[in-house]
Amino acid sequence: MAKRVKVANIENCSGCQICALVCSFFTSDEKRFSLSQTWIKVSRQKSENRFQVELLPQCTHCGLCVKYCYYGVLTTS
Amino acid sequence: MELAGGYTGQILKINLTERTVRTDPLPKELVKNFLGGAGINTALAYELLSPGDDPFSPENHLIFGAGPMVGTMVPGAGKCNLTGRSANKRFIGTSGHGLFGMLKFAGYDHLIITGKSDSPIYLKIEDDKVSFCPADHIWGKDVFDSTDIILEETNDDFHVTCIGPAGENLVRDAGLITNKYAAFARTGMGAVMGSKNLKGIAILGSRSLGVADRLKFLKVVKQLYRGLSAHPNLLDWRKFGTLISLETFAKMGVYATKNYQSAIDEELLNIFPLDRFVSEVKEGDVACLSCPVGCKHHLRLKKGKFAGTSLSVSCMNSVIQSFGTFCLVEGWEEVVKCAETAARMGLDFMSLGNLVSFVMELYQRGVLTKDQTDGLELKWGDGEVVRELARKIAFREGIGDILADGFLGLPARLGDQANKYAMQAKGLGIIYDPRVRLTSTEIFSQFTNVRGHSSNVSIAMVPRTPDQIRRYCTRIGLPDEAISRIVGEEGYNVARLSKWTEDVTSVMELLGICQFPIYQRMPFKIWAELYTAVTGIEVTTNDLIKISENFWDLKRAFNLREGATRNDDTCPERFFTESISVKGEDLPPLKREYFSELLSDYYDERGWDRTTGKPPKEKLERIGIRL
Ligand code: SF4
Ligand code: SF4
Ligand code: SF4
Repeated sequence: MAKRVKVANIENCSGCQICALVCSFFTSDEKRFSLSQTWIKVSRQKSENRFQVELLPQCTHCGLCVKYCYYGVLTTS
Repeated sequence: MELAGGYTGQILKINLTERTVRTDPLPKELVKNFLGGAGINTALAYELLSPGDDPFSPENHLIFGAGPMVGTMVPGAGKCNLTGRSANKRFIGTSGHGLFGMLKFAGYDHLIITGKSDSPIYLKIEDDKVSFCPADHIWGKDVFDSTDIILEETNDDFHVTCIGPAGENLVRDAGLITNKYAAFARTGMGAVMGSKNLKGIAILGSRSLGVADRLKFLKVVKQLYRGLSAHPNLLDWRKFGTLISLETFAKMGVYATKNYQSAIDEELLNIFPLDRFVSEVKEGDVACLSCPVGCKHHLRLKKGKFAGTSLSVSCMNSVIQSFGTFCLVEGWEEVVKCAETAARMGLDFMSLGNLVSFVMELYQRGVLTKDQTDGLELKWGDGEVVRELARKIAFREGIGDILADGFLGLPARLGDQANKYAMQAKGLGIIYDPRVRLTSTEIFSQFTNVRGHSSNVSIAMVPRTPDQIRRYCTRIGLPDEAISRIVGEEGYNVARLSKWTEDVTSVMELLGICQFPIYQRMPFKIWAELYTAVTGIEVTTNDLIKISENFWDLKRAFNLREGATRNDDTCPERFFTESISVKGEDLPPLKREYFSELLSDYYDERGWDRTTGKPPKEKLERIGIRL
């Protein structure tokens, strides 16, 4: 079965947005960094610095964000 | 010189009086001489601010800057700076944190705000769309509530930096707080913002940022990530943040108590046990933009009378120092509650702790009496009093109104007798005791730094042998003749070393990289490689050091233009006259001649006049500065 990326330990998320930056860079043809042209979305919960992470439908499950998330939030299964 | 990556190449300029918005290209000359971030901020400030102006005049500017690495996946590349005329003194004021990188995605390297709105507003910046939003309904509200309201009126993707009541009421030590925890804390930029009737800025960017040489960029970035993975203390940095050095510093005795009347040693660890911090206070890790370390914390108090309190904190060491050691407040719950009040009010923790500990000493000595403190008993260790003072300062009530003018406003308000206990340099409170370890660059530079204390953290924070210092100097590429000036057989000259450690950390600051020790440990030459890969501009390590030197010359020139003299680079009197007892050992006061000699050495190492600290005219002219 093809590899799937998933959010495994959301409580570890620090909000660093590296996953989003990495995704935007590696998946864009022009190789540019962006926080909006990215297939993973990190959102702050309104009143606190706790975070939610969501893989968007465009995600190709390439796994690069998993490699660069140093907090163990994301995994590949 | 082409800007092929890293830079957006644009400066956003907003005039609040005229309500006008303009975008200008980033001048290449500034990139060449000052690189970015705080460097270009300062050059813009030098050009835009008229000498002698009041910090609260509409002509003061708030200049935000994000260095060329900010917005990329370079680890630790989130650092942004805010520069303007300091509210404490007319000198250059600057402060930074790792959470304003959205500026780059909105399409700007710098944001300049000037003028004064005729009514309270906040700015909503979404790429090239800038709105002046009414803020009458938020004015008077604390930082947390204001942030929530602004987020409700924009949306949750925005990053929000705002002031609290302290900034609105022109409290000299007010800061701006971003996303409820990352503060542009020191030098009173919050008060400057308040003086402009500007409550906050909500910013969101949908633009993207490229790099010049992808392959080279990835090679260097991978090396940085590998370096972090291999770092033996990565997880401890994350778990404890700046508390990682609590034990080491406590053992050295550099934590002052009671306004520098005494010091605390390892006992501090019993009052603030680290295991309890992790199990009962900390809820999760928080990081600056693009940082795999994550040394910030989200806290939630689970027990005691403040159970349920939750907030994020950038620097727990500053919480312990400001309220724990300076004011003797004991226990995690109490100091965290003090931090919450200070953050809500929009006050710089350190400055607040310095001021409160100062008035507590005045009270202890009878210089201040209960009828001058609105009936408050300013007892050491009373957290409730600290919080009440924070509130009174922010709203300028009673005794708070006097403290709101900061250390430099005090002689006029409390008389000279009180002034003698004001432990400050250039209006900023002292953080570490120089009698205990003047040989630390961080401690020494509290007095020489143009803005007052700055994080000149280096390997010299803990005792080092001459050999270790020599190896450090070689590692950062210092020429032999400089090394022989800095290190001798017996020891090293902290003043001369400070010049170089400042330059090294400033290289990182201007790039937009975190300057914490974990990043400083990366091989220094990597930053030149990275800069070239990202921007396409060829530089050597030596070029970067030269740019740092320009930056320091420029900051000095700014202050000289405002009338700064050698007398501004000095120690509070107490350090020259009183000894301090550390672990039963009496450490003598500093010798004036020794301190003065060090100051001259520092000027000399910078290439400034040994007596006046004036950079040579030709050197300044080469970087486009006329004194
Ligand atoms: S998922 Fe990982 S990389 Fe993404 S924001 Fe959270 S901690 Fe950072
Ligand atoms: S796995 Fe999906 S979200 Fe992660 S980098 Fe690849 S495409 Fe982006
Ligand atoms: S190490 Fe800490 S201060 Fe530095 S960038 Fe990371 S989270 Fe921010």
